[in-house]
Amino acid sequence: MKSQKKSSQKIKILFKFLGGFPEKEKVVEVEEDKTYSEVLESLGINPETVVIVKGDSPLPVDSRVEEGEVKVLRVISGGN
Amino acid sequence: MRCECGKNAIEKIGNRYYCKECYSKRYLSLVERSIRRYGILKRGERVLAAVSGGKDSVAMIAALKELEDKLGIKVEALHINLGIGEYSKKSEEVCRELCDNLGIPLHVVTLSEYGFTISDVRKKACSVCGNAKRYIMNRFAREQGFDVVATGHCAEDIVANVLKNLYSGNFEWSEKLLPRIEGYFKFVSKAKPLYEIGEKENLLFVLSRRLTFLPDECPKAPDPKWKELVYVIEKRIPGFKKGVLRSLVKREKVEGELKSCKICGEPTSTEVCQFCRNVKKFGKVRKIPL
Repeated sequence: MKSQKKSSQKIKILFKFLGGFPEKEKVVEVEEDKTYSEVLESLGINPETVVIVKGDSPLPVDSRVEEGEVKVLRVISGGN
Repeated sequence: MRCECGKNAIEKIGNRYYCKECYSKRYLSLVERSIRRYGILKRGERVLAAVSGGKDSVAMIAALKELEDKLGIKVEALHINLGIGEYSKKSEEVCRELCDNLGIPLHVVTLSEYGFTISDVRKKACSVCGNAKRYIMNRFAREQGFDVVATGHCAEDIVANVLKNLYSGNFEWSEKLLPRIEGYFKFVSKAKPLYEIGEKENLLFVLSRRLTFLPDECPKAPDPKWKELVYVIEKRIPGFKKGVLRSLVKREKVEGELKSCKICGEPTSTEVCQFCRNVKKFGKVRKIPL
């Protein structure tokens, strides 16, 4: 018997990218059971290279996604 | 996600979640441990901390200020205005606000006082900029009687530079990347209090403490491909960064303690060289006198 996989609802996240990203923002539609880490990986971003900030507080990257806006701060800076 | 203390978590390290307060405490104890482990700063020293306004130097100066009494040091800040348009203006403002908030005396030197700015440099701006910063930091520190200059180089900066030096055939330059370089001739001692601290840890500390910082990237900054590479390797080989950082220090110790073997006189890091110990252990008839 095939196990039926529950289809989770989709939500919208507005990613605002800060520091050295090719784009400034992006709206991504994802299943609500995903984590920020999984979404970042799907966007080609190594989660270790960014900090996710919701409101004025950083979030662990393995947090479940929530509808709304998050800032993505790049931790890699250039220079020597 | 909750911290052990019950507050909202901001980061997961290993299997533990940390809130802002617990994270900051952990960060400060890591910086302190690193400073003590490598003797990066010494009791009684007057430290000139170079601050650009970016996350790393902001984290460093705030941490040093908080550790001032524990470490028995006195911290003052130096900002160098490099004359890179709006970016430099904003950087100086951020440093003034930060040092004001933290109660740290701030000294500002403007590169244009020497007759040029980094905006005047068309080619190899980063190299000219790096040289100007090192020159001004050292001269200012020496003339003002500081014992040591502290910079906000983080673990990834150092590992990326080790790789770059290896690639370009200049591995011997890596000794400049050590956590502390003692002063000589007219050079003041240099210290890297964040030697073992990652830039993500610095950013999280800055955000946790709500410190003023400039998130903007220098418009002249090169593509940080070497640093990106460090993240790629670390992902495949967890612990890579720490391994490189520790081996750099270990290597220096070995080279620094060379002496002559008591038996044969050849260079060794121990009283009797490994070869003579092997001769003693395995040798039967010796044809060549040691």
